[in-house]
Amino acid sequence: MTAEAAQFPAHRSQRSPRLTFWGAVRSEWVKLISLRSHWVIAILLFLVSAGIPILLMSLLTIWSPSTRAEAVEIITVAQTFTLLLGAVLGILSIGGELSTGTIRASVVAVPRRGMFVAAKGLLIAVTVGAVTALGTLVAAFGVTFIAAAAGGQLTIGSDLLPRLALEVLSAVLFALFAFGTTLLVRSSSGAITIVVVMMFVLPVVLSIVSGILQAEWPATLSMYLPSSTASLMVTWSNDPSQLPWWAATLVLAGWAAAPVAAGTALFARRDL
Amino acid sequence: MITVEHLTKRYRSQLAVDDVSFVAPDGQVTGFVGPNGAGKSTTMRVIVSLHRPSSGTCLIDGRPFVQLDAPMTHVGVLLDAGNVHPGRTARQHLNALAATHGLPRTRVDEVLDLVGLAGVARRRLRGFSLGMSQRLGVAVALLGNPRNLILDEPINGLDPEGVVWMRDLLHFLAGQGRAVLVSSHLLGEMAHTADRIVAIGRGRLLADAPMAELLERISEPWVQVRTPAPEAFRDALAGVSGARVEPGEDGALVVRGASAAQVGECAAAGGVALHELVPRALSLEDAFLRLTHDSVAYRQRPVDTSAVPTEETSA
Repeated sequence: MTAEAAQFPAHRSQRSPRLTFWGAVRSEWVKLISLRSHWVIAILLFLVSAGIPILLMSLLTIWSPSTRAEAVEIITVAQTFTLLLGAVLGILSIGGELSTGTIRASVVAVPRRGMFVAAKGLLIAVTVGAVTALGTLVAAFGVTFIAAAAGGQLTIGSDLLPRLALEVLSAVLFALFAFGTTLLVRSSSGAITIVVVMMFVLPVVLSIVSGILQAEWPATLSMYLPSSTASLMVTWSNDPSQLPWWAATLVLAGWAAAPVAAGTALFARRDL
Repeated sequence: MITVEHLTKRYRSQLAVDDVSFVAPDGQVTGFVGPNGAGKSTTMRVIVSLHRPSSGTCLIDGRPFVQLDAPMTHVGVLLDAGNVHPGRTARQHLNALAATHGLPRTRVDEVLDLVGLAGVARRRLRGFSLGMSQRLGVAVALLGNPRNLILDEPINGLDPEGVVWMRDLLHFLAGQGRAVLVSSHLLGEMAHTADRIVAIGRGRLLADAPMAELLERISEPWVQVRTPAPEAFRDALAGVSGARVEPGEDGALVVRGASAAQVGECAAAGGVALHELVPRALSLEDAFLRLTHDSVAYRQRPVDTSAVPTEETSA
């Protein structure tokens, strides 16, 4: 093709192009839905949060029809995996850009880096929230339907809806914790390692230390870990030694806010 | 217009760009040349705020890049064509960037068509050749119909047809009044393309001048002469002020400071026979090498013929 053929028609849109926050969010949406890996994680997140409770309830009605179960405990039984998958989505959304260098094209289009991180973070929060909410909703209907069909072995407390809402919120905050951590360490694998260690390794280590030292403090410390607070947001324990749901929510919000704030501050100054 | 003022960029102990100032004016192709590691890419990255300057400022149309309301309409950028996610298609990559500024999808189709990628718009980028990636990078740069362009080595990876296309495109864009800053380590290529040259080496500004002026300055032309009577020739040329005669290659004489016409007429007036009278100048590549000779960051040793035996000696 020659330059003679290179024509530059004027923009036909009425408004002149401008960089806006919502434009940045739309751009993140296009990036999110255009990668297969994101779809795989999002579909897994839905299948796990909807499927595992339904599967458990089905097995319960078949093998142990006399057992009475609390609805919220069945519906939120897959919380750990929901948290992990939401975290992976949060990590991939920024980690993939950092590792491929796409981040440079993105940041040239959206040079205000705070705006860029806010758009990405908002979209991750909304996406993880929406998929988890959908999965939980399907789980709730499925579980109650199966229980009703099998003769009603389910106890449905009045606190069911707020506790399910808190489960969704916990997934959102945990995904933001993972997202901020990735921004901070600048690597998907590093962030996944940190998240997995905090979820699965540290609690075990702390409980072993607690046993060896015959001390309470490692267990208390363990209660403040992100995955523990996420769980406490849903369990609404009556045990006074455990954090109440609102305190657990605040602690997890802190776990989300700290790496996002520090990661954004660092990202805003960094050479890319 | 792209303005760089006293830009210095230091990475820990290494000084990548050292007090560089220049302007890429509207309506011209400014060739940004220098050897590998000279600081071209660093300068370009600082202009678009990917890197923070240690000191100095860079302005696009008089404003810092991050303060522009619509950065993509002010400056189109091609830095590293490989900076794409291999799992996306060309169209998806462009759609994502177009969305930031609310550009219509039709604009994505236009730029895909313009760079000749309309046929592979739905193919994933992992299957793209370097040349195709470069074309996609140009499409990204043109997306916002920008008033300025910053292109880092856009010719890399293009086939000969693509090189001609790129050259025409750069002329065309500058002809529309846009400022085009294009880097290359090939000055010969720039001679066909650039209106001005900004040369840097080891982070320092070496030259900032219109192409023609620069060539004149760094490659002072000379005249090569062969004559059976060198002494008579020297005497005949004594009348031309500023002319110097030096021995050249292979028995030829080199005359500096006089045109071929002057040399020929003096010889004729002095009755000296000339067997050869050739106006010469450094080739662009030679001129470029001379310009940057002392500022090459990665210098190789000259090829040592004894270290590489020829077929005859090894046989």
